[in-house]
Amino acid sequence: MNGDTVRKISFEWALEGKEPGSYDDYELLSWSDGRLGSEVFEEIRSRYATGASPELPQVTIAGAATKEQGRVSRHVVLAIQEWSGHRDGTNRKVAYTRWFFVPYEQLIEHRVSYETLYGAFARLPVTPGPPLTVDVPELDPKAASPGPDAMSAAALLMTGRPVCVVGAEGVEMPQRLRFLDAVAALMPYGLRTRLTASTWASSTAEHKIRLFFARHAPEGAHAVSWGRGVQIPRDEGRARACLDMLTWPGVEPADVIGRLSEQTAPLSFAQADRLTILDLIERACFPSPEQEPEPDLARAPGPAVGRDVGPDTALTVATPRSDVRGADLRGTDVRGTGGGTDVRGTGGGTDVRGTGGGTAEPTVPYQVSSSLKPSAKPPAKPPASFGAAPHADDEEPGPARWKWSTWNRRTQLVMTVVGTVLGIALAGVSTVAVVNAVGQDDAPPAQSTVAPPAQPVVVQASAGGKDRFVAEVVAETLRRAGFEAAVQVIDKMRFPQGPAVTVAYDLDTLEFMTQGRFDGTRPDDFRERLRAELRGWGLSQLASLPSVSRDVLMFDPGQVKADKLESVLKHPSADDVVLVRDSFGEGLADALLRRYPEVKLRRAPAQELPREMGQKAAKVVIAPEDLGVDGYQPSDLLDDVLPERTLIVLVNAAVDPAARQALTTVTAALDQKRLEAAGQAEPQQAARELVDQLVPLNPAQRAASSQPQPAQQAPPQDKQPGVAPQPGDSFPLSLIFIVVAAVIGFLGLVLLLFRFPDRYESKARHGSRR
Amino acid sequence: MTADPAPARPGHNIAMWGAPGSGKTTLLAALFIALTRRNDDWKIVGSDPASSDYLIEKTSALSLGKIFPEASTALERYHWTLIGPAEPPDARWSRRPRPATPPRIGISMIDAPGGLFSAGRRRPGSTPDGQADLRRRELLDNLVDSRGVVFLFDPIREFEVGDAFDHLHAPLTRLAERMLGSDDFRDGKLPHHIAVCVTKFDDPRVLETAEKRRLLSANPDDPYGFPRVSSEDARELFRELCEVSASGNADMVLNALDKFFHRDRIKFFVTSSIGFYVDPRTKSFDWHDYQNLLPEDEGEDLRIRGQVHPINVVEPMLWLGERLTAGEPRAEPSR
Repeated sequence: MNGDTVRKISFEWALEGKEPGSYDDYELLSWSDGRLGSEVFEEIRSRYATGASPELPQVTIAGAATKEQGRVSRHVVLAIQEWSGHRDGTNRKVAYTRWFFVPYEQLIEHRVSYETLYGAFARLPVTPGPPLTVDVPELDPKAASPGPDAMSAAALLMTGRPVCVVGAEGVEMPQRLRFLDAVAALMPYGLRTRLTASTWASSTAEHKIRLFFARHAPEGAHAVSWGRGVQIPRDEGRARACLDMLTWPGVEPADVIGRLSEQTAPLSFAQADRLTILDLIERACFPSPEQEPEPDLARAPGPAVGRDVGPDTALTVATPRSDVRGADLRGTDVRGTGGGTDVRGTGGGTDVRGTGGGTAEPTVPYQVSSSLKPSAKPPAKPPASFGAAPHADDEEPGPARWKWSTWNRRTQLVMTVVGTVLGIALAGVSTVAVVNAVGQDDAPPAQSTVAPPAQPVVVQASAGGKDRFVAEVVAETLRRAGFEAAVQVIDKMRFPQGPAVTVAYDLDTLEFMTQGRFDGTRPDDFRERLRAELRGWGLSQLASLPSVSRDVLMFDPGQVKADKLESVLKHPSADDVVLVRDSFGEGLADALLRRYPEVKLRRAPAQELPREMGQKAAKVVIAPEDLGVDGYQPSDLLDDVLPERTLIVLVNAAVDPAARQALTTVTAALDQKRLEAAGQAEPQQAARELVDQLVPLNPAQRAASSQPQPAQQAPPQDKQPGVAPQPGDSFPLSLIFIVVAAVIGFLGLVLLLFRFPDRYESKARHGSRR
Repeated sequence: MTADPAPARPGHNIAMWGAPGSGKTTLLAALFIALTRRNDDWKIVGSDPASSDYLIEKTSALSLGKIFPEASTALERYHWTLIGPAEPPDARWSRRPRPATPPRIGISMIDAPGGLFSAGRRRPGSTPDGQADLRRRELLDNLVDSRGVVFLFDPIREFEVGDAFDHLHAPLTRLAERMLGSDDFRDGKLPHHIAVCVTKFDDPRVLETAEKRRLLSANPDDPYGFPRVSSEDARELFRELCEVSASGNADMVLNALDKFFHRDRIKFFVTSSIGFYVDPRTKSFDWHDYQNLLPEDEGEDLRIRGQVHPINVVEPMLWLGERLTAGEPRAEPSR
């Protein structure tokens, strides 16, 4: 897939406009005589009207699904609006809108960009005649070069709300179309069955386009400025997670685009599908190592294209899809995995069924994704999809199942009973062992009996507030992902060499890294600078959380009256100084001086501020609002100057990718509501309860997790990972269980071999006659 | 960054209703000029950036570019606020007079392509059911939500095509059907106020019809001396113009309006969005040279000859705005 391959694709078309001299409104003038009837074209043109653009041509992109005899047929739609060259009855210029419908199954085998589609269709006459085919080059992943605006737009589409690109008035249509291509390329290719986008839309029109250029973003839409990124709203956790993944250091856009273009199963922007999309983007950004081929499955014949696939076909339908209009979802072949959907490209096959007229082709079998296979590394968890998508175990057959059908019924029954008995016995032994282990205060955690030596990860945060709670959430998440994590409370920021996660406010981090030498007061200014600094320090921002703190101006009413405060700032006497922390940024100081040119600042180490305030050593202080020192009152005089600080999660390069993925997942789910609710409780307990909701524990983990993990003031030294378990008092009891289970199992085997088979076989024969 | 919700959006929905080319979009484009030319303090302000842009751009296009706006091809919605002259405060009971508060009328104007109002006439082979058009359904939803309608009757189109009734009865019937279960329709009349605008008053055929029927009057305060048709006579002119309908169905428009709307909620206006030509030297209306629309050139846009002097463009909006502002009878705008 490099853009060199050119292939013919067929299409259907419709022409919307007015006859010359007509007094009528815009209508369909003509259309191809194919499978699609005029009602399809009417509906599409009605649904996706974008208003009258003063600058033509413009391009609109959409998807259409039709149902024929119970089978869903999908099309990618491209509309070109251009001047017709003639006028209507009132002498107004008439625009033509040329609608082109391309069957999606063709675009699976030969993936294309919107730009190349436009190039092919724009050359055609207004009413194309047979043969209705055009030559279109294949999609070249390297051709798309998404900038911060495209990445922001792609991420914001994950919110389910429209995204409007503003500030592009001087940008020509082809460049806009390339932008739409770049955004589409950052999402699974199958989304093109439903993506609606336009190079222009009226700011006042009531349209249904999801991604569009306009002068002003309508109410409810996200606005992305052309050529610039955008600050994702705090409560849009998925969008933030998506942007974090796309901008992750080392993630190559061309590679991501190439992988996402393989994801051809139709998707929509419905809630459930957005989780799948996020999962697929994560897999494209952080691909797992290649899996060993599984010959049994690879040879398994797939259902024929167009054949009705029954509900008992294990390879069918894994993605919940609620927003596909008129679609018979059983005809859609989406291969599921745990925690999401692994939609495999087919090479020569296809994963879209029910288009009719197709020949049977082998489908590429499902392969268990690396994140679900046993591995030396802890399993990676897909972001924001846990608990929403079905498990692979519920849906996917393994190699053993294929062999299963070749054994005779007797053997099946024997194996079933023996397996059941042994399973019960082992479960009993495990339970007893766990119960005993819990009862022993000095016993090691149960997880150490099975886990490989765990990588220790330091999680550091300041003593109180939401950062401490988030640090506990991070630590708990890491523990459940198989890492050894402990929270370190730090007074002063530092970044250790070993695996470390830091929870801090972005402005504090920047102040520390630059020692206060940075310009700008707007969040956009210092966040850009922070990104650069983080790269220099070898750190990555894993998440930005919807938790905001800000500096406020505070004064001691015993020393300054509220109504005199401004005069203290405007015309300070010798002892009228404003106490600030030593890392107070120069940009902030400049902004302050522009407001009050004579103001005097006195800098002190951040950790000294509470002490100085406690001693009433300063009349006026600028300090974080949650500092909580009695006797000082806040003032809103500088609210417009002092910036907000947002809580971020940083990781260094030593942190394992699996740990990063686990954290990305959980932090994406940390919305403002959860953070606020948790702020009322004890941080460690609240963190455990929250992670419980997000990543349910198995009993062994729960037992281990119930052991308190105290916050540390120093690096952990009392843990020895990988220590073998001590059998303790539970051993004799366990031995009794094993013996009893073995006896029961043996008796069951004897009985089954010599007595049960006849009855069972007769039942089986009876069943088969039905 | 999410687009900010507009602060305190106005609640009065007003829908433009009329056949293609009847002048809906042009009337809206002329609104700012019309208000600016009035000798009172009424003004119009966009309630969001996009609506302000529309006012600015269309005003410039009409007044400087002297070109007409493009026809609407989608449902467009503009949020505007009409701000009137400040009323003197009532200081009888207060020792300290409070600052004057000007009346504000918020309007949410819906401009739809004229074809959506048709009965669904289609070319052979195309979709027979006009209801299939999603925009028609959306338009109908908007009409149900509106309580004000500006109905444009284009006498020139009626003379040449004769489809005004076609563009009235279908949506009217559907609107009544939708409101059948509503309390507002219990008396058998729709609750809407409807401003019926006879457009293109500047066209010689319309002006001469009014002149022959002696329906013209003049406002003594008007420095240009433009002829006008009062609201009382506008209904009569409407009836006269229906007589020359190409289809002969125009008379049913009047009957349909009377049947479906309360009589006291219908008001007629004779309007022109571009007005009459005024010679810059004489600065007054000239019966021998008043055409403000330049003759059509092949392949060229319709152009406006001189300054734009909208006639009765603001008045329907103000009338609707004031009627919809329940229980707040504002001073009748006057010139």
